[in-house]
Amino acid sequence: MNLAARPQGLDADRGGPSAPPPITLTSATDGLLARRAADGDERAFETLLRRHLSLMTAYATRLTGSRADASDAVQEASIAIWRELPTLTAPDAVRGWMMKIVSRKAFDLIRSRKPTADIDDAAVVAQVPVSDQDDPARLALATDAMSKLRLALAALPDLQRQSWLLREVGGESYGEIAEHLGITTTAARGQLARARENLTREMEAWR
Amino acid sequence: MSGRTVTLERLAHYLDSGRVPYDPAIEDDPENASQLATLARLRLLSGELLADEAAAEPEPDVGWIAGVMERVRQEARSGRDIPLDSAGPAILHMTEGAVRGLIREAGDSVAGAVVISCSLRGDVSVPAAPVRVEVVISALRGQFVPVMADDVREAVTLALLRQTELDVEAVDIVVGDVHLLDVGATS
Repeated sequence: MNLAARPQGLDADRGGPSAPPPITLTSATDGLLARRAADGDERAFETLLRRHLSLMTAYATRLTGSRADASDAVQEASIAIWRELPTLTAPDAVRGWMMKIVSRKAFDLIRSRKPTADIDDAAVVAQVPVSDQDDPARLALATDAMSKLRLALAALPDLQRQSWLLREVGGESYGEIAEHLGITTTAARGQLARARENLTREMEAWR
Repeated sequence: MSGRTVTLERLAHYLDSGRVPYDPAIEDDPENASQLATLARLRLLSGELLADEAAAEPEPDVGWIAGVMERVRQEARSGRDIPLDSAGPAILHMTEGAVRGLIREAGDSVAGAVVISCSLRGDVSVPAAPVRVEVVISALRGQFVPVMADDVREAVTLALLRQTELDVEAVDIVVGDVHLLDVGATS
């Protein structure tokens, strides 16, 4: 244990003796919480979950298009995260790993709801999962560009929108996207290419 | 749409690679460079959109969290059974998970230390078998680590002595990393 440790006394500006405050889990890093949770600490897991829950929920809402489905998907994802934490090899990147589990559970749910063969993306009209009209304060906060992106995403067919989100927000590979959507990798690439075309065209029109 | 020499897919992959190595076919062509900028902006904006929607999420429902944690506890990784009260007629057990909880609690009580993980080496299921405990801690930067490690060892040893019947041969402390207090931590 010959660590290059420095004697204490660096925080003189706080006055008082230099005994540090007790460390609470809420101030711990994601990596630390992930490692504790992997070691079986339920409290660390709950802290980690609460920290990222809103993003997980927003992501699942975007993917499923339904707040109720999102809640169910995030619940299943949470249990899976707890179960699979001991296998996580990069605890510091736990957030991205959690988001991948969220998307996996979101599509498990979508697949279980959709009987079969509803893969005709052009036929499905996308709904905006979260309505801005309900909340003027939020609308005012959102930048103009963001509101427009929201509209542009809502106008995309489901598969294109989902491919885009999985790739650009979730950082998933073509293969992973294909698996979620139940299509071939080539088809996933095609969906993503069309999403890019449509969104960049929209974006150029904003200038 | 006319003079585009590079596909959006290629532009996206170039963006994925952090625009390295420098690709003059993209960077030095005004139309491609402009498309690249658009794609980069879209990507950034998509992340911001999700963050914005996350910020607008209501506080998590208490019942929802409780439900998840209930299921988590049902799947608790409790580990091996550790005998208690070996002298008595009844055989009582404490789970390994509960002992690890004790160790975490004891280690965390030392100022500046946070337990990362711990392990019990030895046949804990056999009464009076010697056990070695290893505790990996994270130390607050600026603290004098050797003293902190001793304090953690003492706290853990004491807790195990008081609340278990393990024959603890040694408590090894490993400093896994050094952390900073994240004062502005957003939850």
